[in-house]
Amino acid sequence: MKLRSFIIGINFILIILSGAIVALAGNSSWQYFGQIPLQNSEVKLKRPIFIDIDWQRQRYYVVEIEGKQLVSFDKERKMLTAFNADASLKVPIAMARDSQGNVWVVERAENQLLYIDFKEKKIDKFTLTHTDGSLVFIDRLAIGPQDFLFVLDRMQGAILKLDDSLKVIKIFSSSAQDFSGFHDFKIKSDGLWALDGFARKIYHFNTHDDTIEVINFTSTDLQFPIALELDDSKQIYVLDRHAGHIGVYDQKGRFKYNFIERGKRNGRLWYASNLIFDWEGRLCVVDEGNGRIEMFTR
Amino acid sequence: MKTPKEKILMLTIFVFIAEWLFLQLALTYASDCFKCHQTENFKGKVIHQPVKENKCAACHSPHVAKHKGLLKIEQAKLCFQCHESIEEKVSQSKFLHQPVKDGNCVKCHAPHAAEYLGLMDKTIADECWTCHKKPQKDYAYSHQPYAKGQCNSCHDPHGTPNSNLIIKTAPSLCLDCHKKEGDLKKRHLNKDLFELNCLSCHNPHGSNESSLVRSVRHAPFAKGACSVCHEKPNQIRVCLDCHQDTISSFYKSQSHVKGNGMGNPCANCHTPHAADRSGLLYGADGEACRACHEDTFKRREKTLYKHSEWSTCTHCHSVHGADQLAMLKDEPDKVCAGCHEKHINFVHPIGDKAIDQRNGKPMNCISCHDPCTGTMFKAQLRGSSGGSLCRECHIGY
Repeated sequence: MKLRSFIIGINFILIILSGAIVALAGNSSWQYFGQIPLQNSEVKLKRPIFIDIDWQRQRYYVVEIEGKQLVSFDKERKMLTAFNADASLKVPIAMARDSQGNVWVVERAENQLLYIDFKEKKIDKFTLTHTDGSLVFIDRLAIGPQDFLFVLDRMQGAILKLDDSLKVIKIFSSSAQDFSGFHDFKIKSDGLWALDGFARKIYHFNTHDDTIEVINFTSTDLQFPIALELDDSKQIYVLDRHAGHIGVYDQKGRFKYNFIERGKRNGRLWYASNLIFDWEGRLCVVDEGNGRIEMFTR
Repeated sequence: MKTPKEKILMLTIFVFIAEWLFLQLALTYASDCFKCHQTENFKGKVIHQPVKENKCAACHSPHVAKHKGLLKIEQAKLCFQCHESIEEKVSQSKFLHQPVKDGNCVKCHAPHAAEYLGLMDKTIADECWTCHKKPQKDYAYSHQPYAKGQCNSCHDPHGTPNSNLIIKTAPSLCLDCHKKEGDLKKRHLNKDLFELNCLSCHNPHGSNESSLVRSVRHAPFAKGACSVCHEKPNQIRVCLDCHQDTISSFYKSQSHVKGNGMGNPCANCHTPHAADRSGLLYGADGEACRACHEDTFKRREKTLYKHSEWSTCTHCHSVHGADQLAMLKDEPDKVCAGCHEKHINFVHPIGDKAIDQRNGKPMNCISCHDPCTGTMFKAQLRGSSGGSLCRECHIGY
């Protein structure tokens, strides 16, 4: 009888311990990996605001707002080039590369799109309007399949799909009463994912079957969510600019855990603006306030 | 020998007798209390029920207690033991009055006796104005409840689901008193009054303009030229047609353009008819900002030391756009020096010669101070001036 009680007791303790280990692993599996530029490098970023990553060539492209330039880094995080497009960049806030390796840049100072053709050494500037002539206030952008350009229009809070002549061919938005406009979006193989930060919602516009799925976050401790990213298992990562952390949610919007803290030391965030995974599955967070790209791995 | 049943019965009777004796003792406390505590302090037109019944022990522990005033339990919990409806309201309210939030009922109520209903030492308005200095203005035209000091006609001093502790949102609250048909409807272009936001044009306390219209008027509204705006679709173009130069003020790295569909994003912050402040920002100071930046206001509520005039966000922040982080009007040091002119000359080194060890960036005022949300330390320092703040950089000291 005593032996039986002893075995049951041990089993009970083991169950509790394994549960605790699983919970801890879930919460603390992310670790600080390093930063761009390298900590001891002489290269300094004044105020990075956006990052784009070339998975094939394993390069990082950082949009530097105060330096008014685009800075590229190799896979070892060493700086390759700094480019200011013949001083055409005044307030660059985002960029995307097409399949030709040419670059689209959002130039906020003029509310224009710049197309930089590296082979032709040519820069073209475009102002975007809707079909009714109303102004598009260009914010973030991304290149989708077949080099279609997608831009976030802050004026309507909608995401616009543009054709080759930069005409708006599709608008991704919502007619929901609590729709507050999108803050960020990412294009994945299954469609377009957009964050409505103030409404605490994620919209998934499925490009295969043209359905729209709306995910409500269950956590109420989100303070100022401004950017999103998804991993291969479709977990959703939401960057909270004011809280200085990243919240992780499942496909139902159920809160899983937060990681990273607000602060100025390495591995902490101070007014972070964007996040993206690199080819190694490392999460790169653009830390505008601390002037670096923080990298986390698990 | 007694049976177990008889034993239980005996025990129950004993407990009842002991309880009754204890109650009698408690009731006799009052006479004992007043041997030291002067009875005059417990007199007034309105007397708290336990005082009236001489039940001092209902609230106080006569010998020792953990709580100030020898209260038996925490103040608010004690009050809620009888005032259950208030507890229910408080638990269901999104917005709470600060004293309620602090559990400090005696901030407004006298717990023993008072001259006014609701155990108040002053009239409702006088009580409110002890803390709320701002609305105490002499308007040329005043709203009747405001003029009569009937703050509780529109506000609930405990808590409500609505900001500014108003009982109901406008227009429902307003239309409870103001007739929905006839002249009022006619003066509002025969629009459905329930679809209008009265507070966007009218100041609910008073104004120097008739009909309590807020004093800063949009030019077309002041001229009665409604068609200037209303004949066009409600998009940003309706504003830009006149305010064309304004658009470039949004062309900054940090921009406040934030549309939510097909509407006009200017209306997020501005009222198109009348406001109390230049720039036609709606609501009281900070109210337009709070609509989106609720988190900042909530963090501020929890801090002990706050910057003066913290709700006037526009002192430090640009409204349309800025190339500085957090939409500051200028570099942090310059913004601070705008008011703290002398202090900027004798601070801890700042600028390029004083690099923040944590991130390699030049130090500035907000490296050590948090003027936006405030902190738990004096001068809104981000840590204790006795060590923890300094040791952030001066490791080993």
